[in-house]
Amino acid sequence: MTGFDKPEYIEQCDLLMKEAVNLLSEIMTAKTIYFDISDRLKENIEFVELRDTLLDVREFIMALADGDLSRTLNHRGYIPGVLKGLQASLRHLTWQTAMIATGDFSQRVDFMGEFSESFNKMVIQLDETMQSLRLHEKELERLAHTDHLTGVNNRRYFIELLELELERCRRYPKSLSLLMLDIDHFKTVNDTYGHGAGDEALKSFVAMLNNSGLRNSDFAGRMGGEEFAVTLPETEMEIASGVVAERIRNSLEKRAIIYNGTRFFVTVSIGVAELRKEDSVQSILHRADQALYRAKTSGRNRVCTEQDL
Amino acid sequence: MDDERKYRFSWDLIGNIAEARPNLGIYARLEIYRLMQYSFRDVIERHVGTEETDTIFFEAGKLAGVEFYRRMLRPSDNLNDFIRQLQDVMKEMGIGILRVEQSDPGKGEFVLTVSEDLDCSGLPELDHEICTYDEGFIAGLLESFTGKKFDVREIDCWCTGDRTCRFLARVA
Repeated sequence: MTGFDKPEYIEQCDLLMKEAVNLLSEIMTAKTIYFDISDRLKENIEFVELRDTLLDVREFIMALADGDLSRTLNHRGYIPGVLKGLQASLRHLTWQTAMIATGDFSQRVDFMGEFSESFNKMVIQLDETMQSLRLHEKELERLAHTDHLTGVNNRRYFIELLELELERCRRYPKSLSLLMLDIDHFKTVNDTYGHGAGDEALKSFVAMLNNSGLRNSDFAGRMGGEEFAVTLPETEMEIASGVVAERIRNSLEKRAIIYNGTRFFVTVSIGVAELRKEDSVQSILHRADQALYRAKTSGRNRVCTEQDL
Repeated sequence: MDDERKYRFSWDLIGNIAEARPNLGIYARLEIYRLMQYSFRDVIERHVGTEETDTIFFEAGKLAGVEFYRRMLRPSDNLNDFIRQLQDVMKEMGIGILRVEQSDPGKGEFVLTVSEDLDCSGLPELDHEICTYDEGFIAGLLESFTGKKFDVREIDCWCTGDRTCRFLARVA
């Protein structure tokens, strides 16, 4: 029936078997597949299907090993299923890594054994480092903006904030008043009680300022030495001078400062200017400064406005 | 017709299981859940045909997804938060292990996988994907989260020889 006698048939079968084994072995071991399938082996459809499946699986594995997660494997069964499961896990890991890159540090891997543990530790560490950097950055920003002795805004930052406030007033015309405040006879405090007492007076002044009923939108700054400024958005001159400035002046006058067991009092002179249409930061500061000078020269511990000039 | 309905879904119908089952508790074996699902499939298919059965299961899944979103998830407009909540609750309730392979909210395209799926893990190999209920469930969840309608198609399934179910979801 086969056209071969029995020994010849066995020999032919043997040859076919060897060819099949070599072919399958080549799929498993060779870097490149050269083996061409013989016509006789091609007649065995099941074998050809198996070979094609193995070649597809091989290509899929090689792609996975190269990091290519885009391949599809259209075969069923345990090994293709496991490989597709691995591909799904790696794709999910890729997505998780992309999410971490956008700042989502809540991602955790739970399907890759020891790798998961290390990966999760790395993400936690990264999260902690980022949090600490952010805190650090905030602290540096705070330090760059504040006066280290009193904790109020430093001159540079106060002027930045004032500039922003003036821009807002230009866009949406609203009133604004500026107080310039200078502690009276500050040199005498230093000379009499020492520089520590002077520092204590400055800190006490700011503590009083913070509790003087200023609103959240109001802001103060130390302009240098014993000189401070307060911006009062949406406040007209009458309220700024007659209510706010007077309250500050009055509160300080009554506030005892205690340093090294010594009790003493200081007062403050205040100049007030109100924003004009054409004002710049420099011009409004200048007018408030002039009003302050007037308060100083007319006896100290008083409030003067630009209208008093 | 609506007024005459007898089976409109309500969480009240689920009942207070913990109180009612002091000895048996809130869990039952998965075979029983599947027994009900696959006997439903059998009988419904005999009544209305395969295609209509799939539609019914998809719609039931979608209703379940919408209700599940309302009941089990905290409202959020953050995709990662939504996914994380969903992963947690699906794992906790033994529904499956949800993973995201791809998400493009801008394009409205997601590829999700569910391993150890409630409906199909361990089923024999068939010549078709079977998780039509899951497709609807995912569509309901995504629609509730995004406010947009989604087409969800299962592209790999345990029943077609895979170890995990993979779903492609696209804005309709």
